[in-house]
Amino acid sequence: MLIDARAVPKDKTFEADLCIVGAGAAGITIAREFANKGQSVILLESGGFEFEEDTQDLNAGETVGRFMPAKRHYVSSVQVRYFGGSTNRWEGWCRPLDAIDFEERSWVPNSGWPFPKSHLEPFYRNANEICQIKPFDYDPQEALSPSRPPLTIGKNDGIVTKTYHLSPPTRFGQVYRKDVVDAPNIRVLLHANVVDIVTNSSASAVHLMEVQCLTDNKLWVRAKAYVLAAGGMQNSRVLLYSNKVLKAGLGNQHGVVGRYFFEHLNWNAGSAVITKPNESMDLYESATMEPTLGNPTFGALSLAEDLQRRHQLLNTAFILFPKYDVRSMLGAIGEVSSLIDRFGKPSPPSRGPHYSMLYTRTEQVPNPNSRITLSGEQDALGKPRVILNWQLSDRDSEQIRKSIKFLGRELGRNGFGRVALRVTDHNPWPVRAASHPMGGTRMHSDAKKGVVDANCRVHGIANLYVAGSSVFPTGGFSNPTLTLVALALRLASHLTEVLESKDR
Amino acid sequence: MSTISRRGFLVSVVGGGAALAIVVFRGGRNKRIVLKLTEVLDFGPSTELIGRQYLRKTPLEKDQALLTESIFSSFEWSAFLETDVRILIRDRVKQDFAEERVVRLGHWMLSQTEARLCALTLLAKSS
Repeated sequence: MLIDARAVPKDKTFEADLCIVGAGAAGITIAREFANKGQSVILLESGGFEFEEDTQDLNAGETVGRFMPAKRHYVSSVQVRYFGGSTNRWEGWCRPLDAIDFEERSWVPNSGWPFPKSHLEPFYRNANEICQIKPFDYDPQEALSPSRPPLTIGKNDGIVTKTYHLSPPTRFGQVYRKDVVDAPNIRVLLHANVVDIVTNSSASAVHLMEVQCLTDNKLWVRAKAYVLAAGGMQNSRVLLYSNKVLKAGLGNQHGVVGRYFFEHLNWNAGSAVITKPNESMDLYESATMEPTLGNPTFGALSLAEDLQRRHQLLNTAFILFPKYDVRSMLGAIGEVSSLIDRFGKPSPPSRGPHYSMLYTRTEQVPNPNSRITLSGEQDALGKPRVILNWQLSDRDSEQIRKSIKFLGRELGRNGFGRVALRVTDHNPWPVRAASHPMGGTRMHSDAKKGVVDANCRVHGIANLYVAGSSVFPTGGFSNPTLTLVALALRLASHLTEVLESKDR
Repeated sequence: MSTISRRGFLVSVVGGGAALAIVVFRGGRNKRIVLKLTEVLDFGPSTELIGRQYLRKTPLEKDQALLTESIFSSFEWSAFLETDVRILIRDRVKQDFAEERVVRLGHWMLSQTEARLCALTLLAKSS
């Protein structure tokens, strides 16, 4: 059922088994898991079915500090505030995180998820279908047709190919709208903004959600369990401004809410010459329809997990884009290095060296000083706006340069090419955020180190959960949507058990 | 700086292995070695450009004999005679990367051997 919150009688209280705040990829996924089942669900969406400027403005905030994301209005625009959330704008790049991304790594402080990748595997498979990608196969040897082989660089123990699949991209707000709106047990409230999470006096349980419209209409939602799925930065913001009982905000007894904000670090790192290209270099340079799969695929070079462990490197993708201007050093290096690398190994004469611009996408080292806080400024609903102080550390810079040097070393060592590293000590931070806000309500078994536990429940609050990329402790280099959908499925499964046990 | 002391200094710069090579060159095989090495890379604008950049970065190595020594010192004389020099060079370049004997030229990461070979080719062909 669809309800416009603006038209609801003032101060009406809705009751449900489950209240979900936010109809983005996570919120819609959880709601769909409950569709046509026994529990009643209320799904609150700040916007409507189309973009509205005044609603989007509720996200507005500022970025401070040394490291500014490339987009001037990052805070305001990186999350989209209408039905479907940021999937209204995403490009559809999907791949799961790697197994190493879940591990606690001695060289990456504050790394480690509370469970291994294998635990998330079945949910990844379903998430893949939800993102309209079939089948679930990210092993390039298996996923790609024999006519499009990945590069085999040495013994595949240094530089390997990682595969992305491209979702159409699935616009969750369009593709799954009917599933949610038509479900008899789900009420979708549009134009409904949570302005306070109301708890008991000890803040150990949520009693109500206070909801307000931009028209000043106010209503309430009472549920057995609540899921905050308001987006990468807004999840932290809502917890921080829900501070009537705990001054520091809900779930923030140890000051962790808003901390460990991170992004994927995109660097225009330089150039690469592949001296022994194969027939399917297009795999690395553009999303190409994969005949055996039926969806476009894209390849990136990456560091093998064992190499990362041995040399204490961050997980990194090296993305190639075609380069056509090969004057000067680039052309010279290509000519000379490909001559040397091919000595004794004749290659088809028609396939000369392959020139590429080299971009890297690297994970960010979790950093407690990289954080979301509240501003003195207020939005149209009177709630404090966001201040983002995105912080990178020297470790990030050092690690990224080290990774690119390893790429150069491995290509050279295997007679496969050369790399130009544009990043120098004098220009150490040509970094751009990938518009993938993550962290802020990170997952950790220890309440002192994380906001939510392994089940995505806010530490210390019995019935409040968080969904979305804000719970990621680390983010590898894979785009976050597939993982956040998998986590939403996992959370829905957990909530089903919780709510069924309450009913018994 | 006299020729000998300068050479001594340069040998210490490029590595102790070169000392042995000097003895070999004194045996009169220098020209033969230079010829074999410089045939590896056909002289052309690309080799010249890389060679020039390398010498600009490391002007102390602007010395044909020194460059010859530094490249040749890693090879066995018998292997040098019996094996395709191009294969020796290719393997040496790979080994350079594996052992991090890498130079940066205009942001490019190149093996020390390939950069020196370009420089040697430049000097040999222009002398």
